[in-house]
Amino acid sequence: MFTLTNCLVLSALIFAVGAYGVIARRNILIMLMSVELMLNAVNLSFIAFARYYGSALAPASSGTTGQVFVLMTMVVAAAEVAVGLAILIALFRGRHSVDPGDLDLLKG
Amino acid sequence: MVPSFWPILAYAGFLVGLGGAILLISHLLGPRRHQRAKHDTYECGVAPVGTARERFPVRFYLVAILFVLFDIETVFLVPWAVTYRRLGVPGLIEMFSFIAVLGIGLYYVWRRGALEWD
Amino acid sequence: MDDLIFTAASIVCFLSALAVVTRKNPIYSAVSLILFFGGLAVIFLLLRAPFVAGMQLIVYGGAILVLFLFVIMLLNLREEELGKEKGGRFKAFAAVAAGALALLVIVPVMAAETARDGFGPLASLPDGFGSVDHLGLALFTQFALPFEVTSVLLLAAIVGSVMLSKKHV
Repeated sequence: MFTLTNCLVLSALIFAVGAYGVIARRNILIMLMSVELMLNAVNLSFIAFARYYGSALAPASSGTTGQVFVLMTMVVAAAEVAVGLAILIALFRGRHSVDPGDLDLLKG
Repeated sequence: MVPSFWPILAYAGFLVGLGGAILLISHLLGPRRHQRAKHDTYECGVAPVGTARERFPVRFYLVAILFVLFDIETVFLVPWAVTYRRLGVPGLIEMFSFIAVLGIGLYYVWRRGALEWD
Repeated sequence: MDDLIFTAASIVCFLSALAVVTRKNPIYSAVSLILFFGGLAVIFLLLRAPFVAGMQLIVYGGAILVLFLFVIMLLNLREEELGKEKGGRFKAFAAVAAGALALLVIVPVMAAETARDGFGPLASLPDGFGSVDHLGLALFTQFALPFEVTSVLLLAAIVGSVMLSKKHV
């Protein structure tokens, strides 16, 4: 049912799926996508809390705070993806692999 | 009053229905005669050369990356444009300093030649 | 009605998230990610965050996903370049670890009394909750400093990505 509890449980589940992707997969592209999953899980809990506190107790601005923070997260996610993929391409040119296990030399 | 989102749902349903209907009708009505040439890759009528799995050149990627970063700028420009009358001069200063910092980025990209195609 | 849409959207989100981390070919992962972002945008709409939902689709579903697809096309990985996946035992271990992580949140959340009775009625939300208007005012007054710092972050990302991908200019 549509309650704060269930939104937070869904968020925790998606976060765990993303964490599994980062731990278990050996493909940097999919690991980056898993990081996106984790960021979105956190966004979901932000928005759910914004809805919850927007209508319950508090001063009028408190619901908006969560939503503004989601916008900030989106900026961070975009910057992270842009730089992360640029690093991935730079690595791929040198090593011809997207396996993080192959990237174990300090001097390229 | 908090708006209701029924129009969005109706619109999405209409789009899915339209897409499905077009696919279904053309599947039902279209004649199908299989020939070897019809299953070839379409390449302006000439025989295809090489493999379809070419690597994209990296300069496409640079354009895409810059698109993403300046797309984010738009995310902030929209709420600013909606509220700027009420924000007044401070809002103007905020937005212009934001754009100025990103303008430095654009200048850097330009000088590095990342916008050059070759 | 909200219950029904929420349940459907969460199932779509969870299954597509699973597909993202389990597909071998990154193209399938990226397409599942689109589905995931769409499902999440529906939940955002239910939670009365229309502007954030739109931005979710434009920024994540539009821009970030396009970037991922570009890189997948750019690298155009062959089978032997995909990276050696770990064996079943390592994956089982990772699944247990991730499940424990989820339980760490789910158990206390389920135990909390206050959250269980659902969201307050729509009428109790302030006027224009989650609208562009509302967010814009908060963003440019209360959160002016984070907003300005954001531009520096974007500048760093622009410079960094150009540096990394255009070494010889």
